Amino acid sequence: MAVALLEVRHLKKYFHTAEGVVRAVDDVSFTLDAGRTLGLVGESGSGKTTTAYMIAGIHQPTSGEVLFEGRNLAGPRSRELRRQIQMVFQDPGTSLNPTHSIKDILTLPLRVHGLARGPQLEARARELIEHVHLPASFLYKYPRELSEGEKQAVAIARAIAVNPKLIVLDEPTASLDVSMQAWILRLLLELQQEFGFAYLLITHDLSLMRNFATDVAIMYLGRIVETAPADAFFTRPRHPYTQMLISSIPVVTDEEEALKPAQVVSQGEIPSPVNPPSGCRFHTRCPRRFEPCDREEPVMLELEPGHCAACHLYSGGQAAPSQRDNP
Amino acid sequence: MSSSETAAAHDARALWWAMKRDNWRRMWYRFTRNPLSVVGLVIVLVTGLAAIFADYIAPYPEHAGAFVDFGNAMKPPGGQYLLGTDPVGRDVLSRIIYGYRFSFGMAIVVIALAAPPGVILGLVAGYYRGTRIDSIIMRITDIFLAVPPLVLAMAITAVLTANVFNAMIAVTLMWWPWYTRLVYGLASSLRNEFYVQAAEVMGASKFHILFREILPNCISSILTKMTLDMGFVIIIGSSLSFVGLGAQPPTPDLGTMVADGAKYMPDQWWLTTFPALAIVTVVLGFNLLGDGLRDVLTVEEQ
Repeated sequence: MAVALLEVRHLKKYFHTAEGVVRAVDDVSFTLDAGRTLGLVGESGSGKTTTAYMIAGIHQPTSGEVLFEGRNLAGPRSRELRRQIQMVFQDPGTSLNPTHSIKDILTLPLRVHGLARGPQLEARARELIEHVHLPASFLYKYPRELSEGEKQAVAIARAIAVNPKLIVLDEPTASLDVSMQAWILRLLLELQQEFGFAYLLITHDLSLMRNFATDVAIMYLGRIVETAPADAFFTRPRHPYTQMLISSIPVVTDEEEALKPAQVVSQGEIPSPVNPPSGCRFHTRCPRRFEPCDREEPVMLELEPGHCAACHLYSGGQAAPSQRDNP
Repeated sequence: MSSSETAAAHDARALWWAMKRDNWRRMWYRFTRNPLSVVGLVIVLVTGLAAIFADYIAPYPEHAGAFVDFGNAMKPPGGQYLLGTDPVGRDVLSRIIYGYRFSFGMAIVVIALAAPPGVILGLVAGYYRGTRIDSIIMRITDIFLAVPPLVLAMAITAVLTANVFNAMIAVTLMWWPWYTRLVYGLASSLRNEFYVQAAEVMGASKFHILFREILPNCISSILTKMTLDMGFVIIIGSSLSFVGLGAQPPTPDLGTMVADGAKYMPDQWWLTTFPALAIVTVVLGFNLLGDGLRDVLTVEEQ
């Protein structure tokens, strides 16, 4: 089997705080192939942004590995690896330096990586601004003169400037209004088709998944509870948490409501990652919990090809092996 | 390069300059909306130009130094000597104008010496907040902040001699930590901004991150502080001269003039009153200008 573009193995990140050890990410594994889009979904506090930061190199993992084309990303990264993985941040308002012109912002990655110099920089900046469908005159503006959506387009142009293979998108549309969200998503899809980027999309917005992601991974309290191709995720969610998330997508009509695969009423809030529940971490909120849930940690089981869930419902209610396998 | 590329580059430059010009125009407009800021700017410009062109503006340039004319000693204000003369017959107005030159020169030198190291240390400490580098830099800063400036000046002049150079050293030594404090606060919050993270993910050098990403966002606060500090350094310099640790006679200095004139109060009131007013005016000017700049620059940032 070919080496995956990105493989994450048993990734953990613990933060030591005054309240105790926060297990922000606690044993997360997944793979992402070139040209695909993996949607990493979870509530606030589920550890999805921390995972993204570890992949982008902002945080160092407590343990576990991030493999990029089979190469371990631990420790200081080579310039080449830094080029291959780019990131688009959540808030375009603060991801662009207010004192730099758009041209300076777009040419910075080129200058850092020594990909262009002198008049080439200007030409490349024009190309980039065209790729994101903004007029070339924007190069001579400052971020404050742009709308939020335009700023995010510039942030995307900056990410693609160095021809990366993987772009980490941390809630790229969360701070935009709805029309801008659609525009940014269309732009991202178009760029993916043209240049073949792989996207790791971090979001809490399930509705993005249906049209945007090829694969979905659901995170809950630092763990992945279900991974599936996007269509299976919506039609046949297996984990009760996933079912709860899908039930809670707001809909307008009864027809839409009927399309939902299961009706699970959401209850409770996400517990604190300082002191996560024993056994299955979701058991405190799970409507279908039973005997072993508060004692045994469920293992990831492949229920259909490419579709895995970690839930005792599918392990036959038997005591799970102590060692967890990966999909 | 083809002609179309040349034209494009020319357009780009034109756009760039148009943008710069609009920004300046907008800032000037905002600045002039506050009459007090304009008063401050006018005071600073008038006194600053007087200091630069003292040789041409002062009615009696030769009175700046060791000049004696007992025939015209202690003349009250008016007539030939607009602000009167001192006990050895020197024109008070001329000496005030030369005193401005001295005060401005001292303030500019002190700030030019104190600000760059203070800013750099603050940037580094703020960026490495929570590490050993931060602790070392900031504890040294705290030690310097704890020493009263006049006491430090006296200590330095007790070891060395009381002159202008040593006074400037003393003031510079107590001044840089304020820049470190200011920039430390700014840098330690700016380092969490996404644009700094973005530069780090990209692999930009620490030099780039400190001086190209973080520093430009501190400049408006630093400029405002430098403007306000001009006034404060003039006060400190005058205070040092007043107690005899700064400029030594016959150097014309506003603080020395106030001190010397105090002996002749209240009969020869102009000897103290006019130099004191001169200090008040220029400090007020710098404060008003600094406040105005702060208003304009902080709005501009948002």
